[in-house]
Amino acid sequence: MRIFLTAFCVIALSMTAIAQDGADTNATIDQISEPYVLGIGLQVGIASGGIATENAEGRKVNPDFWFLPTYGAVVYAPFSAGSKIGGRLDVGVNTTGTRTRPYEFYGGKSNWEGYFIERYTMFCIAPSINFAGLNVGVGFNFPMKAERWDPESSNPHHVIDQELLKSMAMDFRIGGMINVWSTKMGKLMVDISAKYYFSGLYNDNSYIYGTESDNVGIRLSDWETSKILNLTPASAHIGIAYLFNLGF
Amino acid sequence: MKTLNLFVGIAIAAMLLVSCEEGPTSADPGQEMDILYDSGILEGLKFTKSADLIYSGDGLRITAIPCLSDTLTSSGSHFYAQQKASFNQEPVFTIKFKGGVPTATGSYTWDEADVSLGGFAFTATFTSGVEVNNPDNGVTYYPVSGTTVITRLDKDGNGNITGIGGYFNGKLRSIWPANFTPSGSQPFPPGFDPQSPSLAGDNLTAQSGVFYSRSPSNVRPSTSGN
Repeated sequence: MRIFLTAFCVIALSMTAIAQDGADTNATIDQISEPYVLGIGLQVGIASGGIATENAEGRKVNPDFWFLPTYGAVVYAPFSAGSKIGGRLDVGVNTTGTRTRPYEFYGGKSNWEGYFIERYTMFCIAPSINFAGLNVGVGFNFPMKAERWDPESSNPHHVIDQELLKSMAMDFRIGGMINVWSTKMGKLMVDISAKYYFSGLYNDNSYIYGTESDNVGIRLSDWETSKILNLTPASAHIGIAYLFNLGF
Repeated sequence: MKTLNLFVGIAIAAMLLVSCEEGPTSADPGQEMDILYDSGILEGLKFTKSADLIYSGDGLRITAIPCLSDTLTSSGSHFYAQQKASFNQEPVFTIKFKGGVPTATGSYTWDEADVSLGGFAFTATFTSGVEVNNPDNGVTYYPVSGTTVITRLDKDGNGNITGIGGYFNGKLRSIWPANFTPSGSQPFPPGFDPQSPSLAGDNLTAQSGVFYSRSPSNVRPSTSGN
């Protein structure tokens, strides 16, 4: 996995550099018409919230909030010179998560007050289409790290076995890019995005908290015939992106 | 600009490389030993498990098995499932330590089980690790690789060990696949060499095993761990 990710970064970097060489060479040719401006830069998510959208019987969830949910490179390519519609490609690291209340009396508490946090970090390649600021697309997510921990416990975080996770989870995403500062060099955008991991994050029958439970965490007697739910979180984040203008 | 992109690419690659972790490690936070009923006719009743094991594997859904009783011996600790709470039963899992139950908390690495011909059947033995007798399919799995971490060690006034607690994660395997039936044309399963036998059966992953032996037995401490 690490070799794959490293190779991908090197290839992406090389392609960006090659594109710039082309841009330098052709800069004087299209001076009469409006130049085609490709945007390449970085995006960083500042804050995020996420929650599982479906629960097994006997379990509940709450939203979880965290910082630095995403970071990576972003490319924006208008469909034509001056067009307000274009394609966007995000490549980087995404996180999603939830607070899981595994049973009513978890943590020695009552009324569903106890919980632990689940956090999933993924390498993501997300192509999307931007309609004058409104962004719609899909994300292809490759697991990097998955953790569970009780914030009230000093125990080390439980790192979840990657063999339980889908080798590629997919999300549907919708969001917006709001231009807040534009110069000749580039644009600073406020980046808002909401995602729904419709494929689920786990392989079939592999999410332990997708099993039914009684109010103290014991599996129900009819467990053998029950279906294990997948974890299908939804999350949203707000961040910033800076796109350097590359004119052709 | 090229320098900037080079910087960005290297930074991203570095961040990606740093944050990959395969797992499983440590204990799942959902595996509580002490459970307190807080309502209904059981209000105030404290229910304490001896262990809880989450496993997955070939042909197995992910499963959590609570264990309600245990036995501590000089070579390790046995943990028994709720549905088999009687004498003369097989433990759901057995933890062994090289040289006997250790005298200090810490991390203890598993050794891969050895397979040998004993009588008319192949058997597996191991010195350090965890053996799982899966009550759902009846298959016994032996250690391949993993770690047991002792976080709690109780002693009586004589220095004898009365309880151990901690967690483990690891990979296990059965001797032969559960669905393999020997025949004249194929007396052994694929990958199994009778001249140099090794584990060649179904895989099982101990995603998280949490334990705290509370049996009234106590054992003399060993002088060496691993």
